Amino acid sequence: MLSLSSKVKLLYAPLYILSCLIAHQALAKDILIAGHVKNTKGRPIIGATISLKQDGSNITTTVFADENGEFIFPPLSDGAYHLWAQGWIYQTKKIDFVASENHLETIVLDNKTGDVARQLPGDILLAALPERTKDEARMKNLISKNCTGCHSASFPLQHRFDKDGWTKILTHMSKINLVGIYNANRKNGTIESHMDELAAYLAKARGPEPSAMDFSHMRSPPRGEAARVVFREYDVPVDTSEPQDYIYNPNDGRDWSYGTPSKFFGHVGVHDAQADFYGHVWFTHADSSRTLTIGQMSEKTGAYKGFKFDEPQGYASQAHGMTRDQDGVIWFNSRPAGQKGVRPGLGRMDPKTEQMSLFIPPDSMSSTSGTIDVDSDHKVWVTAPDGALRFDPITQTFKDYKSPTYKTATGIVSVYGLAGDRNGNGWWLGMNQDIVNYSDIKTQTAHEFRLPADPTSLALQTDQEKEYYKSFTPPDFNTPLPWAQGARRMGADHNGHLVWIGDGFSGNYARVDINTKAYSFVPTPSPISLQPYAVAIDRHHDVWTNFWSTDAIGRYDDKTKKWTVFDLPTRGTESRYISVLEQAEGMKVIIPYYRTRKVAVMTFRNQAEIIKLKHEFKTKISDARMPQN
Amino acid sequence: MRQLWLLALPIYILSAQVHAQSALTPRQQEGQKILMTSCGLCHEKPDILNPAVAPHLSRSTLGGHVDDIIAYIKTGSNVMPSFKYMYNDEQLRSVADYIISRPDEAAEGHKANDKK
Repeated sequence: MLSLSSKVKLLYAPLYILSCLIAHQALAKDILIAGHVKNTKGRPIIGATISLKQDGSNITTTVFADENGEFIFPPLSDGAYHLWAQGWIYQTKKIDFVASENHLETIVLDNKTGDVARQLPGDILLAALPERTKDEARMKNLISKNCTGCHSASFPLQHRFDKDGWTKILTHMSKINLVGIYNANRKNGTIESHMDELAAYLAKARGPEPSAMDFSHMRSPPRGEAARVVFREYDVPVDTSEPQDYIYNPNDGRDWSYGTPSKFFGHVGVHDAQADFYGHVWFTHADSSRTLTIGQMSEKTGAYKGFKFDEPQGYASQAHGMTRDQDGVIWFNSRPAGQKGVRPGLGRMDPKTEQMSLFIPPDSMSSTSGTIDVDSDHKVWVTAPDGALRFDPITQTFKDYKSPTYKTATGIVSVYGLAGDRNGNGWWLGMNQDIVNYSDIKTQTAHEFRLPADPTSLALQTDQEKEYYKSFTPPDFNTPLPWAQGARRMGADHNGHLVWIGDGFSGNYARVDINTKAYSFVPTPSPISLQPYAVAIDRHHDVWTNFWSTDAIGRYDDKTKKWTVFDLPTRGTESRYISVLEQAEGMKVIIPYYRTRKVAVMTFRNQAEIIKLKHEFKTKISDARMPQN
Repeated sequence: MRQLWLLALPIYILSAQVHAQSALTPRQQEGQKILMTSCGLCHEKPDILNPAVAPHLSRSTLGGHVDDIIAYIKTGSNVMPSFKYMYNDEQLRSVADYIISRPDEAAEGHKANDKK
């Protein structure tokens, strides 16, 4: 086995930001910023999203308005701030101010005029697509499964085209692969065989005529616990590996009225993220670059460091999956940035020393692939193209587990999600065929079972479609069968006997007993529009997921069978992962934003903490006129 | 010495770009945001290894004639949809104003690729 100890490279840090922040913090004092948000009729806007960014900072802090329209930020340092307040059906309001003492804002939001849909989160748009007939429901199902695998639903659905325009978009998309690259020879049978009816349906929903979309069952904006959380979003610097037209992203999703941004070089790529024990968030960079494999952000200051594995021709290896072991060590899979002859491997970052190393499986084994996890026995599991590899950090050796089924009559089984469970076994998912694989480390064997088709979607298909899909070979795992579960990524409960699978295409979790292998399905609150991607389980057995189709995450409590949806403050998050860090001071939920190149940290506040903050606010400002509870 | 230069480079680029960004008029900034939302998919480079599938948009686009650019976006082409249902004339003018503020081939690799 080849083990490479790499030279860790501190690539660049925006030193001027750091020095300004350090200088400022030396003199800064904590203040409270609070206020209330109402509409033009004076009524509170429940769930209004209020964001703050200090001048020169790369950290955005966001809170939400409660049932009285009130909001209060956690203590922040005094200084010059940019504030913006938003609501799904309201016009964004921006206010700049300088605060040396506690600061109160009364914000009035005007109703959004014109096309409100453009600023809505993807799941609201997906859910509102018409389904007045079985054929409309069939088209809605196709869009839900085929237009969310690579981007949030809001990216296409923010646009309005006539049928001819949608035909051109669909034609283009049929040639785009799952990482966004155009290939004129690519075939997408699903789009091509449904082109005419898909284009007509989309034009009916998002075309020149009055829309057939139905928003009457729209879910609620954040309220209760979901309105008490605090988000801190960290801007990851734009990749300057090559000359850039924009060093900042002018539309980074913060102002919803500009819609969901497009994807292009340098402005995307933050894939997985984990918090360490020392106040940093680490992330993988899943885009080819000359500068970055993984990055680190300071939670307190937003200071950024980039690290890379060098490749020939000046490229930096990409990274994709990331996990944290019981000792706080960060593991990630490293893969070539498009260069032939570079073998992927398993990366290790010790956050304490910032020493990075790379372990490459021997040539007799499969190479590493995209996702990674640590089991309760401290072994690191990483996917391979045809199975999974188990790495022992002590002996630094790999063990290769092959998927029982690698090839079927309709193509290769693509391995994507993975988890290491409490028994020390690995689980990995053949996503495009809904195959669940698992190891038996005692016998050193691998086994599998297949999740059944989604019955709701299957019932919508015509006989002609069923016949067509018998010989359908998907061009990639994001072009599924219309009835696919879409077993994408997964997580293990290390304090329990379950693994949970995010079934992205059918909008549910598969809940699997690691001992009996018995499984059941748990639908999300809206399976057509809230589609789980990755899964993380906290110590209370609560199951967290990032909804890939929209700008939201969800938590499922298996004891009460209840879901809670938490809205993310940015439009176009396109999150591919979620992780948690539970410490004495509370839990943090970490959410990387792929499309808008940020990392977010969500923390919790209970009602008593907010009341205490409001009390402190009132006592410090004698003339503060906070609305009374 | 070379390493010191490398360290300074990002700061230099950052400063230069901050300057370039602030040099845009409010209308051009508006157009830039629209371009980032609706045009980037085809007209910007998708990653470091692949060119954009559609021509780079710059001061040379349609001879730099704002009215021609607006008309083109409203009409579309055999591969590009019409954006007339999405953006009004004022918004399209801001896009055109921004496009003609951009240099030719600003970013290496932005070469027009007329494979379609």
